[in-house]
Order: sequence, then structure tokens, then C-alpha cells
Amino acid sequence: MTLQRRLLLGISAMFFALLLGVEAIYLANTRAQTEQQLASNAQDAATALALRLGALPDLGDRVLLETLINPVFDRGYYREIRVLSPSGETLAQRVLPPSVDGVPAWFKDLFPLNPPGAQSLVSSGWRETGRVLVLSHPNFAYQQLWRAGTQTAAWLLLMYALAVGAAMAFVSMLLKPLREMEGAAEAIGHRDFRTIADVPRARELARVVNAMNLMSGRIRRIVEHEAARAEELRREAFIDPLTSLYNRRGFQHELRSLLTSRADATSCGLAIIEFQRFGEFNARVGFQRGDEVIKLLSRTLVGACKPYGGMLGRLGGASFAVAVVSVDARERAVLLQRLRHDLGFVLAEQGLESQLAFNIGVATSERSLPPFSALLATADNALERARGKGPGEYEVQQFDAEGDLGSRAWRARIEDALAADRIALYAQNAIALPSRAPAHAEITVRMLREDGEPMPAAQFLPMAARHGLIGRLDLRVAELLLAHLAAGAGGAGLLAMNLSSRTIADAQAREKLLALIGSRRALASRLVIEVTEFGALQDAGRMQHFSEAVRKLGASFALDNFGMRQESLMLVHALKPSYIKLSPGYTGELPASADCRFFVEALVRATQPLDVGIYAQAVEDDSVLPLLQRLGVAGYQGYAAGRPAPLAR
Amino acid sequence: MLVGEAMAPRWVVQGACATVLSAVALGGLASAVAELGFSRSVTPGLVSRYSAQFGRGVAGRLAGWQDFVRRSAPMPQGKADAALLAPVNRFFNRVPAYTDLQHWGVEDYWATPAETVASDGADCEDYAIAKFYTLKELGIPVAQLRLVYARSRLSLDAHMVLAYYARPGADPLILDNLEGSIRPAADRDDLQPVYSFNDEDLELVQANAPSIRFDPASNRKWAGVLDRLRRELTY
Repeated sequence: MTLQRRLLLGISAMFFALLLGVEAIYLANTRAQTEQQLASNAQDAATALALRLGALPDLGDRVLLETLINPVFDRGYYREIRVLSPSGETLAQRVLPPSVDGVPAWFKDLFPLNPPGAQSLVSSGWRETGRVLVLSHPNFAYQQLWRAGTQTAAWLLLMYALAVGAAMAFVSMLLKPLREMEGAAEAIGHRDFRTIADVPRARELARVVNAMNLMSGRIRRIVEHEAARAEELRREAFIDPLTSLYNRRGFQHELRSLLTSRADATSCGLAIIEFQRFGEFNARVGFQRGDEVIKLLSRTLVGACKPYGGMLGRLGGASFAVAVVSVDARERAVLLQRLRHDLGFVLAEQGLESQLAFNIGVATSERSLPPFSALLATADNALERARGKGPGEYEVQQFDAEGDLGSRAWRARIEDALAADRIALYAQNAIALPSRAPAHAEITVRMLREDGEPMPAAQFLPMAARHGLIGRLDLRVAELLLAHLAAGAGGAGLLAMNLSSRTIADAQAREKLLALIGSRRALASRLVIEVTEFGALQDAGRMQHFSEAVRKLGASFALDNFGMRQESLMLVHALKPSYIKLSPGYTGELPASADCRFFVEALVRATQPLDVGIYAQAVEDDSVLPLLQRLGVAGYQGYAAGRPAPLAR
Repeated sequence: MLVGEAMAPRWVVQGACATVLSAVALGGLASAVAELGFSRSVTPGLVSRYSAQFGRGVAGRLAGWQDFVRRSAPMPQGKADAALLAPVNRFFNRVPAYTDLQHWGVEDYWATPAETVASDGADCEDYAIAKFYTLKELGIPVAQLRLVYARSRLSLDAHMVLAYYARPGADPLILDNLEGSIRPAADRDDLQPVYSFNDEDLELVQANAPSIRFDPASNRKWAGVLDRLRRELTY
């Protein structure tokens, strides 16, 4: 029960006791007064009758007696009037039976009216001729008492209602800061370090609120400071200071994580643009002019790529790279021509067309995303061939990994597998540091060929995405996973499943998934939904709602393939993930790159107060573990932690 | 004592003597307020208080009253009867008579027996009250005693006397402070009785309900006397 309800209950009970007390005292007083009145009434009547009967020489005439009694008796106030002879015989008697008076019996029992009767001696001269007994009738008195009682009770109840209402408003006002504090405390529990704007006036509460605000503010400042530091280090490590484009490491890194994380990408293209003999040009015109030209060229590239969401990097000297994902062949051709045109125009404008010539080598892939190194090698190869063709030339080379199967055939194959439920779940453990105990298991999905052999995810996921089947697949995976959990298999550890951002973008699939998790709430606490950073950035607002919905159902939310985009740290605040998995690319670079190490360290510091663990991926062997531990990484995943193993169905 | 007869069926017959209406004046009342107005109820506190109020001689007069009652009391097995009337009448008629205005400074004041004896002055009703209580203390049943409002046919003044009834409905004997001797009412043509009362309670016993008490009809003056009597017990 809330504090407010307890207080109100106590107050209203006190008021009610007061009400009962007042009513009881009032009725008791009125009853005593009424009884006295009835007694004195009887006395008056007895005295008056005795005086009147004293006029008779004797009381032997019953008819005459009753004639004298009746006028008094018939007034209706007396229950009984009796005349006795001196020796005690009844000479006349009138009795009024109790009548219906509308007063409940319990009330009469609670407040009985037993007024004494009155007697008076009757004398004729010196001789005593008898005595008169009179007893008042309590009917009228009961009615009066009942009416007064009910009226008072009604008034008191009205006052009671008003008092309780006032108390309710007062308590509510008094406890309003407490409710705000409760909200803030809950928010802090969810790692949202907010402060309370209105400090309550009550001293005790004010102190608590001030302490909470102080703590909350400090943590927020620490987090903000560390986040800023991490951002700075990220820039130093991955951004070219001259052009603000990615440097070679940054570009490689970003492209690699793009290629691995965007399982739903349908195609990609990579262009390398190289200006020949830039070193000589630099020496001739001076470094300052050289830098200016580089900046100008990079701005031109940025302008040309903007409509296509391309990713840009400066690979070194005067060589740039542009990558686009899920842009179809026709548009890619338009982009290529635009790049050539814009660059040529700028060079002409600067009068440099004779001094600076450039070649473009392009690698494209239509069906799936090729491995990064292969794509880069293909583009280099194309550039080499373009260079051979002469200044200003370009070359496009199609990269084809396993493009032997047609797109439609893929679709049929995936639909068949879904229909026949030829889906297998694999689990790969993530290991916590420094304890080296299993932290959670990441679930990956495999489709099985008809012969039961699994197809690798890199093959069917892009196709499933292209044909809009990814939602069905994700839902089926969630179903299988929950069934697995319900069967009680796999101990009590957390199981993490990857969810495509396309599934989340599809309102129908999203609601189905949430309903599915909601129907197994008892198991939800063991479920983690992982979404790639790239997917989360597609629509940060929608993702925030989704993450809140997931948490409300009792499941956890996590970010996968976390990289070094500028907005990434904002994501952590908005989505409140349970943990973050770094892009696999980091692991390889950590031992060699101090910048990279600084960045990871700063990221750990920025997320630690938020209770968000950082996990490294693609850890191939144990040699890097001491370094990860030193950096404060919460755990790792990769072959060093164990290969994916089929999850028992 | 009132002797009952068959009455309405809801009245229950009480006790072995088959009384339906039983007077509790002797039983119940005697035990409850027996000490009110008796000479033996006089406390040292009352003596000192009235000494301070009425001056010297109070202690002696109160002791004289107590002494008188002790001496007059019948032997334990003896029966109180009309023989007690004359000494009591004489004892109190010795108290000097004053009007209330002279004696108490108010128009009409009904004094308790102790006040009458202590202040050594009385008006007609004070005599009657003092005699009533003293006779009661000596064992005369209250049912046989009546305080009677009367009018003197000679002076047309209001007067009060004490009447003693040997039997219910009989011609009473009148104890009057203006008369030295006790005479039957038949001989008292000079007095016209108006109204009479005593402090006898009646109780009606019922089968399935609380019994009903019938208080004697009284007046403000009498209520004042009872009040002061009760207070005297606490001095």
C-alpha cells in the first residue's frame, strides 16, 4: 500500500472515531434530557389528577373516575394511568399499547428510554382516598430522539466527507514531491540520471531531493565528460584532421563493420579515387596550397555523394574512397559519372587540369556483401587497370563471390526452408572478464539445405532481406528460442538473438514479436534482443520506443557491432542497452593501435556509470585477453570463447 | 404496605405475600437513603460547619436531638407506634417559631431537621419535616405519614402539618406546631387540607422488562430539602 493511502486510511479512521464519539455523546445527552422531561411530565399529570380526584368524596365510581382520567389520558402522552385505593386495589386503569413509531428496534435497545413514573396521593379532606400512578409514553420521545440522531448523523457524515476530502487533497499535496522522487529514483534505476526541478519545502524531503540531485548530477557530468573524451579519441583515431573524412583506418574499419553488420544489404559499391603524382605537385606549389586543394577535392566528393548516403574516406595522400550500400547499379553509374564530372570541373576551375590527373577504380557486388578484403582488392585491381588506361580513366569490376545462384532461386530456396522449418539455431558463448565465466550465449540462425547441411548466414541473410522474408525468419527464430527456454534447456543463462532493423521497421512484424515475448513473460527475463548500431541509427526514435517496449516485457536490449559513428554514444543514452558489442574490427586493431585502445578505454569509462558492459568480438585467441581486461572490457566473444554450436531442438 | 389484587396479565406477582405493587419505602428505600435526615447521620463536619454558621450552642442542640432519639427508640423487639408521636411533637414544638423571612432572610425556606435543630428556629413546614424524619428514624412506616398542605380557616394562611394514619384510609392524627396536643383530624375544623405527600417510592415489577419506579410527585422546595440532606451526609 502506498504511503499516501496509509495516511489517508489513518486520518479517515480517526475522523470516523471522532464522528462516532460526537454522535454517541450527543445521543446520550439527549436521551438523559428526554427521560427527565418524560418524568417531569408524568409528575405534572399525576399531581393535577390527584388534585382533581381529591374533589370526589370517594373513588368508588369507576365510570366517574374514568371520565375524569380520560381527558388527560387521551392526550396520548401517557402509557398508563392508574388509580389505586389506599389498600392497593386498582380502581381505574387506562393503558396505551406501544404503537408503531418507525424507530428501529436496535436504536431503542442502544438508547433505551426508561423514565420513572410518578405517583400522587389523593385525599378527600383529611382522608386519603387513593393514589394516582402515571407513566409517560416514550413513543414521541423515541421519534424525536431518532430524528435528532439521524439528522446529526447526516450532518456529521457530511462534515466527515468534507474533512476526508480536505485531508486527501492535503496529503496529496504533501506527498507530491515524494511521488516525483519515486519517479526520479526509478529513472536512476534505469540509468536515466535526471534531477528533480522542484525542491519540496518540507525540510526532510528537501534534503533527500538535494542529495539525489547532487548524486544524479555528478554521475551525469562524469558520463558526459567521459563521452566527450571518447568522442575526441575516436576522432583522433579514425578521422583525418585535414578533411574531416575517415582516415584509412577509420574507413577500413567502418566499411568492414558495415559489410558485416548489414546482413540485409542488397548490393554495394566501392570506388577508389587516386590523383596521380600528388607528391610532386605538393613539392612544386608548397604544402599549404596542397592542403587547400585536398580540402577542396574532399568537399567536392562529399557534395557528390550526399544524395546516396555514401561513406567517404581519405586513404592517404591524394587518394580517396567512396562506398555505397544498397544503391542499385543504375544509380551507382550516375554517381560515378557525377564524381568524374564534379572533380574534373573543380580541377578546371582551379586551372589544375594539366597538373593533376585522377583515376577511379570501382568494385561492385550485386547480390551479397563480399568480405571486406576481397572487395578492397577488387577495387585496387580495377584502379590499377584504370591507371594503365591513362589519366582520367576509370574501370568498374564486378565482384562475384558465389553468384552462381539466381536471385529468384534464392527466394524459392528460403521460402522452402521456412515452410519446412529447416531452420537451426546455433549458440556461441560470450565469456565474462575477468571471471571467464559464460556471460550469455548469442544465437545465430542457419538455414539447412535439403540434405541437412547448413548454409552460412552470409549467403542467405542478404537474400532473405532483399525478398522481404527477414521478418518471418526473425519471428520464427524468436519462437524457437522461446520454446527452447520453455523446455528448460540451457540452464539459466541469458540468450541473445539478433533482430534485423527491417523487422523492427515493419509494424506488423514488430507487434507480432512483442506479443510473442509478452505471451511468455516468465521467460522474457532470459531473453536479450540485439540490434546492430547501424540498424538502430536508421530510425533512432522508433528504436527507442522498441527498446522501451522490450524492457517493459522484462527482456533486455543490447547493441551489436558498435562502432565509431558520431551518434553512437547518444544511442547508449537513448536505448539503455544492457551491453554493447564492439565491431569485430576493433579486436584486431587493439594490440597495434594506441588510438584504438584509448577509444575503447574511454568508451568503457563513459558507459560504466550506466552499468553497460562492453564486449569485444572476433577474439581469435587468448593472447589479447590480458589487454581487454586491462581496458576494462566486460567480456568477449569469438573462437577463443568457443565456436557456435547447434542449439538442441 | 399496599396489598395487591389480580391485575393485567403482564404484571407479575412479586414475593410470598402476593403483592403486585410492592411499596419499597420500608425495604428498598430504607436501605438506600435511610440515613437522610436522621439524627444519627449527624457528622462532626456538620457540627463544626453549622457551629460556624449559627453560632454557639449548635453542638449541644444537635447532641440533645440525638440523645432524644436514642432515648425514645423502642426496644429492639418493640414496635414503633402512636406512643412515639407525643414526645416527638413536644420535642420539636419547643423550637422557637420565626417566619422564614426573619430566620433565613428569604420568603420561603424549607429547612432540613439538622438545620432546624442547629439554627434553633423554625417555620411550620420545618417542624413538619423535622417530625417526619425523626418519626421515620424511630421506625414509623413512611406509608403512615403524610406532609399535608393545609389552609387555616381562621387566618386564611397557608400552613403545613404532619398527619399520621393508623390504617390506610383512616382518620389521621395531626401533629401541628401551633397546637400543643395531638388531635384527630376530625377535631381540626380550623384546618382545610389541600394536598399531601411523602417520600415513599413505589416499584412495579414486570416479567420480561425492567421494573418501573413511581417517584412521589413533589415540588421544587422538597427537592431542595432532599438535595441538602444528601449534602449533609458529606460534611
